[in-house]
Amino acid sequence: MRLGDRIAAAIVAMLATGSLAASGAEDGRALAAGCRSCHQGDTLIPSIDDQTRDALLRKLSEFRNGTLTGTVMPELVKGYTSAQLEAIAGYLARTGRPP
Amino acid sequence: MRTSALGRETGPNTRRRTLLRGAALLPLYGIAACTPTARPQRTGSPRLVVIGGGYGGATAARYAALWGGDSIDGTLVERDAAFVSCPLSNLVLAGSKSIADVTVSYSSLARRGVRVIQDTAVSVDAQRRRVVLARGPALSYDRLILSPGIDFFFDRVNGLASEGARAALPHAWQAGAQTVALRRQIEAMPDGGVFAISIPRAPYRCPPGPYERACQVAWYFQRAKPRSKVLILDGNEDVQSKKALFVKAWNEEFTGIIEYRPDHVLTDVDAATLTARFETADDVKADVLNVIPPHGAGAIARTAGVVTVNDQWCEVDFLTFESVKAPRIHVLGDSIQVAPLMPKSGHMANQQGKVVAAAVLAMLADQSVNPAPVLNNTCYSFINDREAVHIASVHRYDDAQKTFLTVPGAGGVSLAKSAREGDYGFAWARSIWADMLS
Repeated sequence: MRLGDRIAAAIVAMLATGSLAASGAEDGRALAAGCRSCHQGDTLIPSIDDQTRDALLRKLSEFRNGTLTGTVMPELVKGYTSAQLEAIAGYLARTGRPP
Repeated sequence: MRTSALGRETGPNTRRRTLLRGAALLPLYGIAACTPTARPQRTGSPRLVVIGGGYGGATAARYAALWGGDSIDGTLVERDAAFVSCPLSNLVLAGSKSIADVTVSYSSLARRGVRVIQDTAVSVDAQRRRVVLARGPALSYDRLILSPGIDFFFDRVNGLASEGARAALPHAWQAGAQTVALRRQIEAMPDGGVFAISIPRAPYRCPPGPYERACQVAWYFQRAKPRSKVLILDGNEDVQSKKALFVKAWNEEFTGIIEYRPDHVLTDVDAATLTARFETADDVKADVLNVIPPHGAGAIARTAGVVTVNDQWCEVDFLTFESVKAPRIHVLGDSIQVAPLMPKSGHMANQQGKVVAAAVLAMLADQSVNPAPVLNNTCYSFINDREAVHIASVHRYDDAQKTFLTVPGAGGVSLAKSAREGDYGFAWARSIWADMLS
């Protein structure tokens, strides 16, 4: 890969993964990886791939405020800040299904 | 945190995708990596060695490959030919699941580009950064991840250390042959007999596991040996997890079958008469005596010099899970001295594995690590063959206290057992096994 391409790719990756964690931004890649223990595309546990950022965020917010009921999700989502949930949704919406 | 060269959109990974596209044309790609004669370690890339292919180690190896691509040379050393899950293995004891149902191959992980070596890690030379294997050549590392699970202190219970006693009293606290052996004993037990389970003092692997086991054996007894009993002999003063839910099941679903006895610290066993003796309580004679022996970090951790607490657990820097004792050696899973309210669970080990993978990749690239990792835990316990209960929690790194603390207001437990949660429990297992091993 040419140097210019590498720099461009690095910038894209920084934006996509929230690698600005050191400066206070959330690490979207790390946080989203935490969801993957359960969300792997199994038929019962809903997929978190191929959704828009807004759709993901809406669902997470609804779990948090009780509009959407569930078993584990309402309990887990309360452990994350709004900024963290935004980082998760942003990362997943940008990257889609991992390999 | 450095992600620019490790994220999926970056240079090395774009290269990796290209390589994988090419690899699709080569049907044998990755196959060699799962044999004992796997290709030798490379010399150009930083070498990462992971010891232990359970919930923690397999996850760390897989995510290091996913995120690091060919920028690292990753090797997983695993003693067994296939992964056998401890979660759900109590259902094998009850007969509603088979050992095959909780067994997963390592072959997909090998196809990810992880060199999987089936061998036993004998010792770690932290000075020379080498891992000695039982059969194959020693492995060199730039960073080592230890996820060895637990080993047992058989000599801390009189009468348990001999080969004969260990064969007669399968603990089944590591799933596999032990599980099958204990299932045979339970099946062979006469109706009207007593199954006794001895729980070591906390902290131990899988806090709710013994209580789930009691439910599972009782469920089997209801169907096959209805006059039989389950005795829980707890080395602790009270039920360690999901207390209200378990007590409700014992009182209502398994009335007259399960009896709970706290403060039973085991001191002696007689394998010939299946008798257990305790510090203060009366002796118990059983027909099947299931002793979960006291345990600590897997033995390989001792050779690495990273066991620091009570000769039992390994203290780590919670940002990176690097040993507080040995640089370049990271420890995770059941082996570590846990943070407050952090359970020794498979899910937690899986979560830690991702934090460790990211930290190791960053450190190998001389980059800063994620300063604010978050871990979550979800744990299902099956009351019978289809109904389960859960406990959940979220743990965030606290910079001031340098440890993980549970997030107030988050997490919880089921209100009641349900088949819906049972379905989720089975789905959780399928999903997390994919997250580790696919």
